[in-house]
Amino acid sequence: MDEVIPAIDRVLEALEEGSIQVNSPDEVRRALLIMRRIALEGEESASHSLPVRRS
Amino acid sequence: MSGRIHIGRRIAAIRAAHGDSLRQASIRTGVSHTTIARIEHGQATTSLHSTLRKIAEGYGVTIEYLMTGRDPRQDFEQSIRRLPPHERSRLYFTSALNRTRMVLQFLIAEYPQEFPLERLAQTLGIEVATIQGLLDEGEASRLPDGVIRRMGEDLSRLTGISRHWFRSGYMGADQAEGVPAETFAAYISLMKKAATAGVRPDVLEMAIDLLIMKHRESGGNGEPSNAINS
Repeated sequence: MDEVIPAIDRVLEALEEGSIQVNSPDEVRRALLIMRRIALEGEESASHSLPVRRS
Repeated sequence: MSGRIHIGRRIAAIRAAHGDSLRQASIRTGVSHTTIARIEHGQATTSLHSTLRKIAEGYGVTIEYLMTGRDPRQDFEQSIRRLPPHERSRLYFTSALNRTRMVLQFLIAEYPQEFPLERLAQTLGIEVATIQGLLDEGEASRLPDGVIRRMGEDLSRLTGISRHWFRSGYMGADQAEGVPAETFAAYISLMKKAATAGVRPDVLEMAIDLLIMKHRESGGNGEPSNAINS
């Protein structure tokens, strides 16, 4: 999952810059943002489940 | 003879659509430029099948399309894209067996001459009766996952329908082979979750296509042995 968020960011950036063009940019951007949020939530929940290090 | 003229015209049109010269078409397909020129003019006299296969593979179309002008992949994908979004989203969550069954039903209904049951059975390496059983849910449920997976790959080769469709319901970029399996699986997982969140499948698939395109542009960072075509 580590690569996914930077990959989504690269596509969002390209859409913002206009270096890639699609038919429905707003809808695609929204979809990417939702996917980003889902990916981020996945990472956060994974980090919450890490075992606590005991001293 | 008129059939050969139509085949030739289709090939000329595909070549023109790609902006290829005869020599570029030759490099792309592995067929000599003189042979391509002869076929385009309906003048090829030898057996066309192996040559057409090379041309079809070079241009990413099916032999059926070159021969008949009909493309099972395009027709199948259009039939899926015509579904209401919620029904299409549901196909991400159905089993590979159901998706395979859908393709078989489509071929039998829409392409009975191009894909008769005997040809399908031969391609899939199974009995005609097994295909008929597969169309029946009770029989099909006995088939092991490995058999279903292999059938999807064979049907993909036969029809040009993306093998990702059989595995995940994603019909998008053919170029996903450069993306490491783990990354691609993560994209598909996100796509499904976003579909559940109400994002339209056509938009989601466009987003995945862009991610794959960007990955390839950046040169990727996965090892070929870990790519999804392995």
